[in-house]
Amino acid sequence: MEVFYGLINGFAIALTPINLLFCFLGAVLGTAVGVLPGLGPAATIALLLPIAYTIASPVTAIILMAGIFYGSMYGGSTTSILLNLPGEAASVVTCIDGYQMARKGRAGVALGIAAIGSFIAGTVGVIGLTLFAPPIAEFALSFGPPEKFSLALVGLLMAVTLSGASIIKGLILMVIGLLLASVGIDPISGKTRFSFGVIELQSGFDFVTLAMGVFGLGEIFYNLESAAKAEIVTTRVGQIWPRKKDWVRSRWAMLRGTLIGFFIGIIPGGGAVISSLVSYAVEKKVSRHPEEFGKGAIEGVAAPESANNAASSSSFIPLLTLGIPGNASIAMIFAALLIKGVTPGPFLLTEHPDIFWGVIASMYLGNVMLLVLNLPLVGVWVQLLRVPYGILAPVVLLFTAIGSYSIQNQAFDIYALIGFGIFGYMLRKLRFEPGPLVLAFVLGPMIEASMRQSLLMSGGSFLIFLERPISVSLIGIFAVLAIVQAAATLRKSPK
Amino acid sequence: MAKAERTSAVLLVAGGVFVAAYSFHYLKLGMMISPGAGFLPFLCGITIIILGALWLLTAWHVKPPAANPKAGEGCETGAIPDEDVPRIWGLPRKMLLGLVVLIAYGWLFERIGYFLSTCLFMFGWQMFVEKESLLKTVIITALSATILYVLFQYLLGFQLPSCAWLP
Repeated sequence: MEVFYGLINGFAIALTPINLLFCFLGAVLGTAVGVLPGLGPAATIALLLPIAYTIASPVTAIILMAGIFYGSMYGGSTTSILLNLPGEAASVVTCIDGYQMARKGRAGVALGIAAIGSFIAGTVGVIGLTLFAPPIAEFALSFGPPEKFSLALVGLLMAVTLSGASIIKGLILMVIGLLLASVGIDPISGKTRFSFGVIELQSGFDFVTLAMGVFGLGEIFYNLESAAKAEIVTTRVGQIWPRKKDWVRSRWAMLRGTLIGFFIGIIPGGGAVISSLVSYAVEKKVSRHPEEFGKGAIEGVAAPESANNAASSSSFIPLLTLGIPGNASIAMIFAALLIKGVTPGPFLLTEHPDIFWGVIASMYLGNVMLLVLNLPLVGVWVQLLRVPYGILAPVVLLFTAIGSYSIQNQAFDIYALIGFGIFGYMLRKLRFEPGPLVLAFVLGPMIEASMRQSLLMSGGSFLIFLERPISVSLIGIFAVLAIVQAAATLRKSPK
Repeated sequence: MAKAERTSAVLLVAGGVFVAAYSFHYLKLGMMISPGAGFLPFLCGITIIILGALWLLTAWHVKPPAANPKAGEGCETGAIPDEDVPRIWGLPRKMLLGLVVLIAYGWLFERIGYFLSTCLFMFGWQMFVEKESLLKTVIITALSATILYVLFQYLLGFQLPSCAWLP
């Protein structure tokens, strides 16, 4: 019953004109970002983080950013289907069958099933979030420093090992992220770390500057070198509403995609990209017509699009209940909450129920808005692709530079931004996935503080992390997952 | 790419040695019951050395990567092949010019104020990076500088630096 009252209260907050407006803005921006290749949701939320300072209400700021995140999952399918060009990483797999459907003159049906699947999965994901988040938050209230340390570290390690990218490279970025988070004055000893006499570094690096540099600037620099050129396969979208046969073929695919996406989204490092890949593989395996996959099978669009939307909703569960961001986009939302003076975690539900329930309720509304925005207006979104990159890139660069300067009104932040931009560019060139860097950066202060508190509690013994039941369980879960992952990697490697 | 990876791995190991030494000597590790400011950075430095060495070992055996390994099967990214990208001193021309224009922008931003520096940035970008015509450059410059000014100054309420020479 508490959940019901909480949700009703959330709707009362989300339905205020200002929150409705920002929910709509988030949905529009998210769809635009999803459509435009070369600007992912993490980069866009990073670019908009300075705006979080100017939006008075934290719930409004988070509603905007959440809208961008799940909106981008909808928009990403448009370019995948019409151009064979994924607007963002979670839509890569939609290219395979979506583009083939478009080539056969069924672009409208592919777009329609992607939007409907996204809507159903997104809504089911939010229902799951509504039901699961409160009990998890209540359970997490009993966590002390050792549990917090184990949870944050295990969450980070899972994000690295399960992301599908190189584990060594992920771990390297994780450690660099922890190191960057330690720059500035140590809160316990008062000693300045790694500032080398630079006054501006005494307060440490700002998350907004780091995120905008590594994601925004790094992505733009990288794209300048290989600006994508693509031809729209068709401008005639045709009939959007799927036929009865299409419904029959895709309904179970949508359901399976939703369930897979929901559970993978909860795991740190899981997220939308992995869930779309897994659901496509599962669908191909269970299909009666696996030979049709890659040639325009509608299940190949319905399943991954449902999965990535369900995952985008469920990835809010660890953020809102445990204070652990599972992927880079959620890390940006974590930072936006911190900017507004709100600490994400188990106390969010009791101390800020307006944010907790307001954001969840806005996600129900956002999904309806996205369905309306994406189905009839698909032609408008395609027109966005006509904006030349030669104009988009410098405008984004200006946006990041001015946004970064405005945080503390100092030019040093622009230089730091450029430095992080070059670093982000190099990471892409060396095939690093920058997610673990920002995750470690936001969790770094919590990891260090809880480790020091735990050592104080135990009289200097690291065994405390193995003596507490919750802490040892978390470490055990990670160990099992790591072994399963290692076994799967060994099985796949050529003999 | 394998050579770049090996070089980066060696630099990373060197960076790890520096971090560990700096944390040990300057920041101090403290005691186990009460770790000092250098404790976590020291652990990070040691981990970086180990991971850097592992990366170096794996980079030694790395095979030439596929053209677009992340794009997924049957999915073309439309990217221009690496060897067709114009370069200056081994770096992509557009990226290098863009970087120079951005650094100049950072240097000028507080000195000559938002409006002039933004106009110069956009003008420089369109003329030298994108090689647009003068008319198109002027139109894009004026429009983007004005729109961003209205957005940041009036809609978002940011304090943008103004030019000291202008009234």
